[in-house]
Amino acid sequence: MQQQKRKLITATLGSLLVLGLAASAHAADKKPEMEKCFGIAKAGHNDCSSNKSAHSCAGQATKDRDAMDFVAVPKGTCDKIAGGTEMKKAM
Amino acid sequence: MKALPAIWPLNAGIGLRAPHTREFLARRPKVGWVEVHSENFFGGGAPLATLLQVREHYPVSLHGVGMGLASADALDPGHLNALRRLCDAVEPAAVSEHLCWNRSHGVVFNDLLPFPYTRAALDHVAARVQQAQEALGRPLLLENLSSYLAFKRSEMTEGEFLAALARRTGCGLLVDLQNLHVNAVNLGTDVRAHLDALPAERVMEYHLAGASPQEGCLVDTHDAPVDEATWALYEAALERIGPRPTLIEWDQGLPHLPVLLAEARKAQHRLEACHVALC
Amino acid sequence: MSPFADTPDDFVRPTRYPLSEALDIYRNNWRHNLRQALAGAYPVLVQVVGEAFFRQLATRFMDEHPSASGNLHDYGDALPAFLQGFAPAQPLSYLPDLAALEWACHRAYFAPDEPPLDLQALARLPEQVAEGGAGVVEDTLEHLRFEFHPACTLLASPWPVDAIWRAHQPGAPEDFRIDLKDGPCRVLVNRSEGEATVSALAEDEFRWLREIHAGATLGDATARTLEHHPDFNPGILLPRLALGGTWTRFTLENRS
Repeated sequence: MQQQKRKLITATLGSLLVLGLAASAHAADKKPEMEKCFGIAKAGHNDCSSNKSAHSCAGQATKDRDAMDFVAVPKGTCDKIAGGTEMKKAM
Repeated sequence: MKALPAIWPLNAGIGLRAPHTREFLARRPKVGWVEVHSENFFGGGAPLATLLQVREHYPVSLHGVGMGLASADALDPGHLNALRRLCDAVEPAAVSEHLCWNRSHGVVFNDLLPFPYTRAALDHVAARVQQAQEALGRPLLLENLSSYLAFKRSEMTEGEFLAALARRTGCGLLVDLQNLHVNAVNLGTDVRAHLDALPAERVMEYHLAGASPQEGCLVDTHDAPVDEATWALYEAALERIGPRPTLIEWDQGLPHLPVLLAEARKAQHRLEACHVALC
Repeated sequence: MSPFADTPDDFVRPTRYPLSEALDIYRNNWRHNLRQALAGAYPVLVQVVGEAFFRQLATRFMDEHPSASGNLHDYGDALPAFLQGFAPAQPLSYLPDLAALEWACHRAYFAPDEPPLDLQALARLPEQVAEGGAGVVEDTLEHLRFEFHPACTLLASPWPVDAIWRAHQPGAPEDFRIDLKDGPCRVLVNRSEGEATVSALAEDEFRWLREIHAGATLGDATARTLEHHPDFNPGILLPRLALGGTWTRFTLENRS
């Protein structure tokens, strides 16, 4: 185990240090395109989405009467997610 | 403490909201300056990066909605720090807040809430304004509030309160003419008396916006063009106080950017007419 | 809890409309602002349960968890935990974990900027260690620790909440089907070019990164991961994470 760990860390650090050398050679290339192979999904359109700018100093014209008759059943895309009702959380 | 901003063009500006930002940066329309809500840019990432891009081409005014200077609770040091960091990054033409409270016993009501204009409240708010100005290293502009109720215990009008606050703390004043109009309709506020009460040399900015009539009252919704009554008040303010940088605020039911810019041009024309009249 | 319930009539000056009308406006603004903040932080949750259900959820939530910040983007961190005990949401057992993922994305979006990991300084380390005469270079570099960027969160769930999250991003096909039996997920939430990113991690990668996140040294994290996953190899993962902005700083100090 000890031996294997040692070997791995040596190899891992090797790859990291090479990156550092590469970075000094291409100091201008800030972010290599590693994302596709890493399987990253982007949230998309956040930069100009209004739902991330919560602040305003305007008042609301549409009155919220705080109706307390509870909408008991979620009615969204959850019907496309199968198995939700039967499964109990395992953790 | 630095002097009040001198690099702020005497022009009309627009409230720049997230859905317009990309188009705004692409077109870079002819408008004097922009104003944004400070709290939307606390933190880093895309919001701040985009604002800094805007700042490269336009003066930016930071308009806060969350400090709650009149709250009985202490000012939130984290909030002040975040605003100071934002100011350091943006180097804004102006930093404004509202004359309101928003927190009590640690609970924050994220709205702009009115309070009685008493001498005790003046002492309290003046101390808070001074504290904030010292933390930011620059003067604040304080904006008059649109209110839906008024207090029997008030010992002075809002205009008198703001005038005293400006004298005591050296803060500037932001006169929201739409808010004055809302208060005139809802509470019977004497708008001309309000304008007369303000020390003209402390008034640094005007706000214009649209409102919505409700059952018996007017709600300050910022979702419509500026109405005739508010344009008339604006002209009265230009005459009594003088020309100042003027903002068109539109927060809900956003129109296309050109509509907003056209509103700003209307304000610009009135500003220029006023200039001519002064010369 | 209503902040306006106790306002006595004799405190307020009469206007053209009843006091209740004014209080309605304030109550409405207050609730609307918090609800908008929640909907902004949890856009996938809104789609999954529908707007009407979300509205009621938000109303119940804000009664128990008032805002504590003048910055509305801070509001809603307690929603995932609240969902655990929210009876009407119980049939959707994955909701708390989905909400936790959304909150992590929300925080990633607004996290402060930090300078990236200094890879060149890292590359110079072996030389420095050798010059310092501290012994075998690898023995020393085992003690490297990495500090996470504030945009980063590690999350694990027994449900495929990452797939659910992806299916609700702008541009994703609307006719998706997800089976909860598709199993657990382990993800790293981060920020790339201003957008929140959700990256799937294998079980061994997740265990290793969680160790590093908790402050373990490179050597200890690797050793502990190998105990459970003898085939684990961080050789590819580590440079990718380093380039992806996962870390902002490294420290090299022998604490043992």
